[in-house]
Amino acid sequence: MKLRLGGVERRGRALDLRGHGVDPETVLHAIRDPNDRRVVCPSPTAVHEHVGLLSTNTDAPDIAALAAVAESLDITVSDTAPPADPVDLRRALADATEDVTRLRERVERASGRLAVRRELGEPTDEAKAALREATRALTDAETEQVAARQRLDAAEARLRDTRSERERELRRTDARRNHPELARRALAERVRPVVSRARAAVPDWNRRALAATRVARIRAPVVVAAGPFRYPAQARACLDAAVVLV
Amino acid sequence: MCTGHEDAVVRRFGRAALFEETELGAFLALRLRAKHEGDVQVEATTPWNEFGTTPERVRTAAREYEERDAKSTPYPKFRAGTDHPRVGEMADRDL
Repeated sequence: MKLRLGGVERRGRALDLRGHGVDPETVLHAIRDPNDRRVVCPSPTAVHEHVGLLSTNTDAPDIAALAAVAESLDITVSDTAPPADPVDLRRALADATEDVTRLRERVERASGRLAVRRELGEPTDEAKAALREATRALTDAETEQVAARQRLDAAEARLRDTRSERERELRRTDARRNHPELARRALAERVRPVVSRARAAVPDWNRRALAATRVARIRAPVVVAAGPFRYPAQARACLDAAVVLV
Repeated sequence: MCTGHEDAVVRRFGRAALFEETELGAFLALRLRAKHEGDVQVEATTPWNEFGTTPERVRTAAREYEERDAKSTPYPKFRAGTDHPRVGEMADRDL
């Protein structure tokens, strides 16, 4: 930004006007008014309305402020991708079932052949071995079928829960469509945990406001009045925004 | 009735509802039957597995039609000049 105010002329992303008797509101106004040439900077987005000025009196962010922070980050509510369809598990179960059917027939044929040989008084060793082999294969296939069914059942149970949750979410989305206040609240709730976590990264001074500012994506400079920062660069790093200290 | 027993209702579609397979689900279904008699159709549902029940050509046609380039293309036009089954043909074949 380029700033010319109170006899000071500066440019940069972190400016210090402390000790020059400049009023925070004046700087703020100059930042927000595109025709005000005293501060030339990127034009403020909606979130600047809420986090553009930090002072001891700045209120902790309310729902509207948090919603604006969320919007600055392009956070939206819902519109998640549908859950994956367990198509491979269904195919696996169908294949396993087909194997079982095929092997059952093989066991029946093998046992039929053995019975015929017995009746005719012919040697049965080979037929017995064939029956044993077929029975063993059938047992294996049945085990696999049970396992495949359990895997699919488990996946379907999880999916049912997911669907119910998504349907509840969908109903909430419908409600929000008709009530902007609900939409704002939902947006705010999305970003609230992020802001809470950010409190650990800011000085112990109007922490919630600092944290909200730090989280927000802000184009225009933030005015910090009588703030906790020793150097402007510190403020800039902490708030992740261009700053003017007054 | 459904609104009062959200827990037992798996899903609702207009005038249809899917109940949990619990005694409460059965209770609700029976109340509907008692109240509306033959107007109420109660059926048990099972998860459906297309493999082993549905011919490959039907599965392929459904998948490829849903991947079509233009959403406005109707199925008959989409299948023209391909091996995909006709609608009437599918309608006539039981699973």
